[in-house]
Amino acid sequence: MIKRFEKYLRDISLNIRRETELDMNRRGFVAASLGLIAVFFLSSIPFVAQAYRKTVEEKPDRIKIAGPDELRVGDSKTFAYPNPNDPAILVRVSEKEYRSYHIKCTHLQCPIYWDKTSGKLMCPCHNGFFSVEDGSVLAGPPQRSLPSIKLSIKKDGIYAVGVIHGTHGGKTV
Amino acid sequence: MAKVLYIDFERCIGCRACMLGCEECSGHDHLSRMFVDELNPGETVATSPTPCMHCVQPACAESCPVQAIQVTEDGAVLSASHEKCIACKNCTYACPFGIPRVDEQRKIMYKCDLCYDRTSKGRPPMCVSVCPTDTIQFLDEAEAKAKLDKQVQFKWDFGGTVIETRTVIGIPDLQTHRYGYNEVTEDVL
Repeated sequence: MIKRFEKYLRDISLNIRRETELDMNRRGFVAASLGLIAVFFLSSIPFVAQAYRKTVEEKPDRIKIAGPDELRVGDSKTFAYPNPNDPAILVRVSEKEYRSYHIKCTHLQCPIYWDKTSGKLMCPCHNGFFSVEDGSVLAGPPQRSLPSIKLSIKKDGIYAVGVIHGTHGGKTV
Repeated sequence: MAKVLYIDFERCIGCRACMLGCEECSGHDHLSRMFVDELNPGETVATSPTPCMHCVQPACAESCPVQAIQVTEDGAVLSASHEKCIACKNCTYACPFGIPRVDEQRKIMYKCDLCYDRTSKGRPPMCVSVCPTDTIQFLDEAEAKAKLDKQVQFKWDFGGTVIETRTVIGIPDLQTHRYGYNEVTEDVL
């Protein structure tokens, strides 16, 4: 068994048999390389499928995050959505308008708070500022806007229905 | 069945006809691929021809970085291909029998290739043709390796690494001290 394996290794690594000389020429080498690439590609398909299934499964639930008049204008409330380790903030910016964002700062994940006096979302660690209108970066080290949470405002309260991931630099999608 | 070299050390008279024959062959550029060695200079005048042993797993070919040394279908290990050889001398270091030599002028390795131009057409190699004492013979592989009238050796142990060769060496009979051609008798078997 070991001997046969050694012979196999010799055969594929040493090209000294005259009758098989052309099996391992440059063209054969290129073909073998392309075959290896194809094998790698095919072997990655299950992983890709698994990752795709995970993203498909991630349809966040619809949860109630505040009562109809729980917040006064200019106030905020923190909650977690969609998972317990995704802290988020809900801000009532006017009588009818609410905004909600994840509060992990896109710079180094410090918690962002709602600065009522300046009307901005502020990160205390390195003085990053985000717009409350769309979560985009106003100042400081962060490069990406905050992920915003889709809201559904009903008569009986405010519901979180989904997450829109932040974009690089500019506005949220 | 492929034919191989069979060399009977006892019969060599040191005439160096095999070297001359090899030198004179076309394409050999007066460089002999066959060597005649003195076995024990000063003690004895005994000599022996040393051709390529044509190993089953040739260390020279396996060590060649450009795969210039090739093994034919019937087992002959050829000399370096002129186009490929880079005269790096790896084969000279790898060969435990010291067969490959490098021509420093032309920067190319040369070694015995069992006169493949002749043997592939059914003719014996030149050294066999010119040997006056039948020291070098060209026999069927199975016949040479199963010689009954003489002890033969074709496996060589180099510190644990056993190398099997296709060239068969007939070694002197140290049990009965008989030499020459002998009838096969029962007491030898």
